[in-house]
Amino acid sequence: MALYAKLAVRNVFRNRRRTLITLAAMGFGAAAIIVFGGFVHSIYFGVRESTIRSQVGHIQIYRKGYSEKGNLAPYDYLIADYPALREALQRLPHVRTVTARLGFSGLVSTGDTTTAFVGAGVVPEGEMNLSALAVIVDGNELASRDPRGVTLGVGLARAFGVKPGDDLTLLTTTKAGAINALAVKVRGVWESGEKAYDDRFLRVGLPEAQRVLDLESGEVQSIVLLLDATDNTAAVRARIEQLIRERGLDLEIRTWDDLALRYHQVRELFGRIFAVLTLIVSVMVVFGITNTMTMAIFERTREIGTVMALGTRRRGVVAMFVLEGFVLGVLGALAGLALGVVLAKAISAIGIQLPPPPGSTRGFTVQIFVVPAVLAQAAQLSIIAATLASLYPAWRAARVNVVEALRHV
Amino acid sequence: MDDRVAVEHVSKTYRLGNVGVTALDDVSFSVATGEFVAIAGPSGSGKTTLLNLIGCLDTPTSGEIRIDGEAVSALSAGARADLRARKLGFVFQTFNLIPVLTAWENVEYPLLIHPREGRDRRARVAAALEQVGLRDRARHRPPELSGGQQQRVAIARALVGEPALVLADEPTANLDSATGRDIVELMRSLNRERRVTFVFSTHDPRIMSVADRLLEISDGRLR
Repeated sequence: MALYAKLAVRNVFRNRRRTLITLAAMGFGAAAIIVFGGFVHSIYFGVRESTIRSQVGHIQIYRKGYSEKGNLAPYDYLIADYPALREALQRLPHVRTVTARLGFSGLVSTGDTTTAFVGAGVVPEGEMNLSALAVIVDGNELASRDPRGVTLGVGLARAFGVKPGDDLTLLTTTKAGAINALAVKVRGVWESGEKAYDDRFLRVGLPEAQRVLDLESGEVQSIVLLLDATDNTAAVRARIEQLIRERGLDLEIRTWDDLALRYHQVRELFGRIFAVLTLIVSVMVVFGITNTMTMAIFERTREIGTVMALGTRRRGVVAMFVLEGFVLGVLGALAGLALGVVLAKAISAIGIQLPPPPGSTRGFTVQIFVVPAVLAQAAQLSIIAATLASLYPAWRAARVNVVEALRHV
Repeated sequence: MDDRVAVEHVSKTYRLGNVGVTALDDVSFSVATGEFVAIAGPSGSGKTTLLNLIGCLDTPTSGEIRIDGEAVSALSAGARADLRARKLGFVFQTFNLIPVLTAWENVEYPLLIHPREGRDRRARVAAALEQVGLRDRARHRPPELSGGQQQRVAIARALVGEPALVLADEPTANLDSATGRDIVELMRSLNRERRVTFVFSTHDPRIMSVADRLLEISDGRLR
């Protein structure tokens, strides 16, 4: 085998120009995978973090049963004693922010126009960190000292033509089912970048929401936790589960992974695009290597005849050429890794602007992550595709008639 | 039995389209250990076919060939490859060294494909190169060697496995006459000093005259 490996390495460098062209093709293919894979991972990361930090937080806690049946009867599944829980949760490691929400919906009216809204009663101070990506574009954030304030999504504000300082009326049903109204004043307009959210959502202070829904002051629907880093989610979840068990609480936990639907949709979509790209590159590598090996074998027909005359068995000839394909694959992988990493860094450094993706209102700057798993995948693909692609030419080489091969000029 | 090679009623017919071409027609002879045998004849007379059959590179249409008493026509391709590695050395008209390997590595090649020869491999390669007078060229690759030197490396490669028989198909045809004579003298001295059995083809009369025995072939028949 050492002999065949030596021959493979030396034969790879025999026709340098052809080898360089083949390696360039393989290198570009692998680099394409690395760059696109890195881009996709930066999108995953962006969507994940923006969903976590603008909406769902890392962990949400509800009364048990809320996730299943809360949609139909939201006020039957309320957490009763938020302040006590908050204190316990805030003492856990990695927890940065603990805040509570109370979702409700109804109609919002200026007096002239009326439309449906989805609202959340929030703790203004707690929500500051959770709205990192819902930027105030006009007016101010909610504040506890301004209990009648409301902030609107930019689409909703635009549809109404309202601006900070304008009055609105919110109509909703109380826990018991009675109609109730709340007079509010627009305090600010925010933009999250997600159109569906910006067109429908508004926020009011938690006490106001509790009042209009006729709830006790400790009653909330969900507790939202923001951690120092997304990677700590599982650890914190385990601690909370322990807490729930110890205190015998009637609560359930959801993490961002359960709640960030869009994140999973994006992963699904880009995952498939990435798979198609991988397939295209594989086909490219296979054809490139097949072509190179076929030419090499044709040129070396007499050598094949010679080594067979000297007693090399057919499988030795196969090994010789498959190893050569493998060596090409390894070199192509190295070329691809170098090129891919350089391109990824360069593109990130240049900072190319892209238009808003579907369902979003904000453009973004292209970032390419250098992801070890993607590098490994690109390298693996080069090596495996090149090795497999050389199998058939190698098999054909081993089938030559020795006498004819020796006569080959 | 002292015969290295026994050729018994061997015929070889090729198909060219629908026509059968007889390359060899009922050829029989034998070669004893230590013989230096030349096969002579014009182009197309069947010299190369005969050498290919003895060399187990091809199989006869009928008849049998024995190498050291072992019948070869029924062997599988793999078994014939092993037989070639064990018992035969080849010297080609066009030298046929592997261009990416050095002279040393070319000579070493037959020992590497059959690991039974692993022991004292280096000493044997060195000795083979010494015998052909190219010990100082061991690190050179074929393109850096003259034709005569390449053919010497090829002879060292053929000898290194201590074969029962060395087959040489027109070993001097691609060399100038002086170099060709040197090569034949080298083969002859190896034959005399080390009792290496040689069967070679040629159409050069001066080389034929060196042979112990001359087999003349024309139109596929021995004369």
